[in-house]
Parts: sequence; structure tokens; C-alpha cells
Amino acid sequence: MSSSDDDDERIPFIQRPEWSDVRPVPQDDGPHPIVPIAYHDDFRETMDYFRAVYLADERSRRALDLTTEAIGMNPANYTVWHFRRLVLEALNVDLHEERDFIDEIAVRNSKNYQIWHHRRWVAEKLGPQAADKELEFTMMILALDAKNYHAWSHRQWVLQSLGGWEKELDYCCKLLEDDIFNNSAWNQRYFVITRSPLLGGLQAMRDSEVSYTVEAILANPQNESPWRYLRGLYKGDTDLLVSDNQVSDVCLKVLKTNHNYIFALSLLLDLLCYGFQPSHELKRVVQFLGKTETDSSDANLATTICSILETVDPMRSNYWAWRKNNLPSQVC
Amino acid sequence: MNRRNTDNLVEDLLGDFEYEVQVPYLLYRNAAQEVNGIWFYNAHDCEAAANLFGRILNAYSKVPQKPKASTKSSEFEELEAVPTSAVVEGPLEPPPTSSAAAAVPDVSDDSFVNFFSGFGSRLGATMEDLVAEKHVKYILSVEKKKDDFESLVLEHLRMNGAYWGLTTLDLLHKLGAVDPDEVVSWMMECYHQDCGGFGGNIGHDPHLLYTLSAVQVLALFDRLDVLDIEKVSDYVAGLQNGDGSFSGDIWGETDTRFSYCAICCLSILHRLDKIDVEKAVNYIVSCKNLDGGFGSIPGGESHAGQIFCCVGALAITGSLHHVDRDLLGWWLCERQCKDGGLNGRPEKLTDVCYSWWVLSSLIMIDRVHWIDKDKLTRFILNCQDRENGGISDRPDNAVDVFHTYFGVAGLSLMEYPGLKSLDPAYALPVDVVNRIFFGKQRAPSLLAS
Repeated sequence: MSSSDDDDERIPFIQRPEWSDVRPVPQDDGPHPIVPIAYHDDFRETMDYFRAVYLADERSRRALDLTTEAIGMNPANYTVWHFRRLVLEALNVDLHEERDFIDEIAVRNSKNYQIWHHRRWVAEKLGPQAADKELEFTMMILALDAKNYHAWSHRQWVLQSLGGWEKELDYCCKLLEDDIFNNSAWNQRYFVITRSPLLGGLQAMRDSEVSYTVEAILANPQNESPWRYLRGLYKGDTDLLVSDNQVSDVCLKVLKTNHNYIFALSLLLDLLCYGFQPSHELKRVVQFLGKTETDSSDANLATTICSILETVDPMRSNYWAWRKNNLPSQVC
Repeated sequence: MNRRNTDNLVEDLLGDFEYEVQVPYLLYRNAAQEVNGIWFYNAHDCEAAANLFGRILNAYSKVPQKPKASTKSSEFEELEAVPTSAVVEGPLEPPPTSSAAAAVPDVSDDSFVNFFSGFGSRLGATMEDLVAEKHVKYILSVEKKKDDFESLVLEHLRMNGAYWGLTTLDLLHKLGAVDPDEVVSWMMECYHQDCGGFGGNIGHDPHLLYTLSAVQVLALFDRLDVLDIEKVSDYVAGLQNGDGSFSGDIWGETDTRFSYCAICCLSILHRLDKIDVEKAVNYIVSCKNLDGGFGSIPGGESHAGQIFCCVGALAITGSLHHVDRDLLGWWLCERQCKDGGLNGRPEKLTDVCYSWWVLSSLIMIDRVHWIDKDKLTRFILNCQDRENGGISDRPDNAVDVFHTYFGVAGLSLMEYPGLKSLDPAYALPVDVVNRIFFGKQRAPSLLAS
């Protein structure tokens, strides 16, 4: 907000004839404010007038316009939003207009809880016909910040309450094309796979999803998200995870590149702990890494992996040491 | 060592010290000829600790004697013989309302080992590195900057600001710089008598966020008696929805943040029985993701802030068994980035506030030794404004009260010298929590939940 521009255009309330009947109510900070806040004069005046209509519970058009001004100056003030909703209801305003208003201010305030909540309130009242616009809106916000947590929460709520699942998986694909490291998009992908009424559910989607994920991993093995996503596709079914060759294969492929293999090692470690029987090739590749990275040589593959990780991921050396001390007795 | 007790046990291994393993006890005799036993839940950990003693003694026997590090001596009480029962205690009365639920049996594992092994190698952090006096000054007199738009937007959440500022002062042992009567009288002007909730400031509508902050601040000052406890707890309980979730206020925004606010608040007021705890817990569990983390709603992306809220709520209600500690602990320790700071989700920037949310979560599930504490400490200290006080989200950015609190809180959780201990679930100093639960009034016993 450029204060000099606003100062030029804004007419103080005290000079507006349509407000001449109102006595502004100043902020009561108490006798000795413990967390003193400085005020800008325009803001102070606007809030003084807001306080007046709020205390008088005046639910009029001018009160609505006043909340618009107050929100423009401080969109995080939840009391102003509360009162605005009361006024909107009392005046029975067409909420499509309200939605347009939110469209305007949301871009500059995309992390503001009040705006998102207000948006949801409006969308709920508009019902399922609002779904498309809401998805468009969140898409617009996500185009500016693809990880905006509020936008994703809102989008998930829209899908579940108002519908619109048709293009969601494609949307996830597109976002991941833009940025394969976007954890929110991976999370949304999982959300769609598991909850969309239009797809077959996790089991039906698993094979295609595994292929997709493996490709993503191989392109950037240091990317944390697809590794977690891959595990998620087996939804806690460790037997399935262990028996699916695609999983151990991707670990092997990454290990053979001798580069960015931390997540590959940690997944392999988990597989071993679930009873996985490694191939000779896997053992060979890991032992080779073990010799290059560590001084010790362990007969036990899992122990070797822990030793390597302690060395190459020293920030988490306590975690890897703990893993080493807690290996199942039968592990390879 | 024991999160239910602010007294830490210190023994000099290098003096006259002998030990013997008798699983599940690690028995030792110290220089004062006292014989004590440390009880371990896990036999393996018992042996691991004994091995550690052995390694330390071997290492020191080979190395020329150095002057003993005494960085922490000011923080610890004079050591007392700790009878075995002190560390064997079962669930406290009343069981689930205390964050001690987080310290149930697992307290014995690697955190103990690392308490000894990690500590000696600490960066030698001294009180000088934390410019405590400057932070106190910063909080006490937030500058009146007319051009500062940041200040304007804080008006409606002054209640939160009060909590952040005052708790930080207490951690720095400077709560006495503020007059409790002034705070309390301002706070009661934010109270809505008709419904029992607190607003963010005078003239603001009630909301769960500010109600929790108000109750926390009153707890700091030991002035909970000014509350109409029934009324306030009814307000909070009234915000629970049919599915167990909580709304922030009458307008219905639902978020696991509010589950935490409600549960923490009611626990402090000893009124958890006013809500359906089981449903509340089930709702939180429905927000658990496959990576072990929690989101704001079911299916929501795991985020450290939400994780703190969910884990905190589960800890307070004695429901931590729903958490896969190893899985979540790993996700949380993966938040530590090359600069030593923590982020909130994969591939996001580090920020000092995660020093609280990630760290407190790790402590509640007893996995804090999985991060590199020295590096994190350095990161937080580098976020200080050493000239004017205050802490920012990352080095060289503008400071604010929010990040000042989280930075100091993070340091406290890592036992930085000179700071009061902070309870990871209640986000209040441990002595305040002890006063709430072990003070004059005993809590009504919680019915099985």
C-alpha cells in the first residue's frame, strides 16, 4: 500500500457529508498499553468510524463500504470481517459481487486466514455451482505461489464439498511439470488418487502411479517428495512394498549413479528391515559405496547402509546411529 | 533428564564413579558414596548407556586432564541423590492432562545417551551469544513507528502478541518487568461476558486463538483465579463440532490448530471433561498422513505447525500412542537444512519459527536428538538483531515479537544456558505448568477417555 497515493485520493471521514451524523469511537488501549502499537492517521480514523458502526450494530450499505475500506487497510482484522458478514446477510447482498471483491483483494493477501475463511463462507452459500470459480480462483493463487497452504486447503475443501474432480489429476501433473519439487502438488496428487470418486482408488491407480513416481525419482533423486509418495502408494502394506520389484529397482538405479543416493539408501534400509532379500548386484553396489565412504566394512548390508548414511548425512547422524542399533535381528 | 521435573541430575563420571548393569537398572556409586539406580524401559538402552559410560571413561583415561567444562553448572541445581522411584514414576495424577504424557516410558532411550555424548561437544554456547538484555528491551518497548504498517496489522491480535512477549520475558527471567495488574485489567476488557471468550484486543470479537493466549498469560501470572472458569470452558467446549473437530469461532473455520487451542486451554483450566475427548482425538488422527505428519484438515499436507498442534493435543490428552514416533521423527529431522535451520515442509525455506514447531514436536515424541542441535542453535543466534534486540525469521531480516518468542523458545528447548525450561506441549515455562498441575488446587480427576 503506497501511503502517499492513498493520502492524495482519500477523503477523511470527517469531511464526508454522508458520515456527518456519526461520532467516531477511538481505540481503547487501556491505561498503560503493554504491547503498544503505533497508528497511521488514516487507519486510526477509519477504525474509529468502524468502531462506531460496529457498536451501534448498523448494518447498512455505508457500513458495508466502510468495512471495505477498513479491510483495504488491514485485511487481517477478523472483527471487521465478522461484521461484514453480518451486514452482507442483513442486506441480502448478491454474493457473486462479494466473490468478485475477494478476487481483487486476495492476490495481495494470499496468506491471510480471514480472507480464505470469508471466501469459503461465500462459496458455501453459493453452493455447488460455485465449484468451477473456486477451482479457478485457487489456481490463480497457486500460479503466484504454488505452495500456498491456504489455497491448497481451500481447494481440497471445494473438491470434497462442491465437487469438480474431473481435471484435478491433470492439474497436479501440470504443477509437477512446473516444479517437480513441489511437495504440495505431490500431496494433492495423493489426495486425488485416494479420494476422487471418478478414479478407481489407490489399488487401481497404483501401477501407473508407481511408473510416474519412478520417473520423477530418477530425474531428481535428491527430491524428497516422490520418495515419500512412492512409500505412500503401498499404504503401509510392507509385504507389497518389499515384493514389488519396481521399488528395489529404483533404489538400485539411483545407487549405481553414485550420486544423490541418500533417499535411495534409506528406502533400501527400510526394505531390508521389512525382510527384503537383496540381489547380488544390490549388495555389490552398496558394498562399493561402503568402501568409498566409510572406513569399516560390515558383513551386514543394513549395517553398512547405516554407516554410509552416518557419514554422508551427518546432520542426522544420531538418527542413522539409532537405526543401526535397532535393526531387526534377521535383517540382511 | 526428566521432563516432569526441572531438576536435572548431574554426576561426575570422571571422579570417583563406578557402575554396574543389572537390567533394567544401571546402578552406580558416585563420589559421595551414594548408590543410585537409573531405570530403563528398554534393556538395550540400559546396556547402551553402560557402554557409553565405559567409552567415556576409557577415552578420558587416555587423554591428559583438561579443565572441566562448566557451561551448564549455573543452570543445574546441586546434585541430589535421585531415588530410583523418581525415574520410575508411573502416569501422574491426573494422567492425561499433563504434557508428562509425552515423557512416558520412552524417556530412557537415546535422549539419555545423547545427553551425555552430545553435551560435551556443544559449541561452547555462552550467555554472551544470546543478547538477552537487548531482547528484553525490544519486547518492553516496541517502537512507535508511524510508518510501520506491520504495527498496524498487529492491533487485532495483541492478545497473541502479549503471550509471545510475556512468555519470552519469563524465559529470560524478566517477567517481573511487567505489572501483572495492568495486563490483567487490559485482558479482562477483551473478555466477552456474554459468551466467555476473549477477543484479540478491546472491542474485538471472541475467538479461540485469543482465548488460549489469554489463559496462557493468566497462567504466567498465576492469575487464573480472575476467570469465570465454567463460562470460559463452556465457550471453548461449545466450539467442538460433531466430527470432533473445533471451529475457531462462531463462523465455523475448522483447523487442527483449533483442536490444539481448545485442548490446551481446557487442560490448563482442568475442564477437559467438557468436551468429547475421544472424538477430538479421532478427528486429529484422521488428519494424520502417511508420512507420519499431520495437516490442517484430513488429507491436508503435513506441515510442521499443524504437526505441533496435533502432537501437542495428543500429548495433552494422553494419546501419543497414535503417533508413529519413528516415522514422524524422521520426517521432522529431515526439516533441518544445510544452514542448520529448520523448514516446515519439504523444499521450503528455513525459518526460526520452525525451531519451535519442529523442536517441540520432536521433544514430545522423544526424538529431538535426531537433529543437529549445535547447528540449529547457531542458526537461531544468527537471526538476532544484536544491535536493537529481537529475532527475525532468518538472518538479516526484520525482527518481530513472534519470531523473537519462537527463537528464544527453541533455544530453551535445547537447554541453552540461562533460560527457563519450556514445556513443549503447553508452550509455557515448566514451573508454570507445574504450578497448574501440582499447585494448591488438585485437578478433578479425568474420567477415562
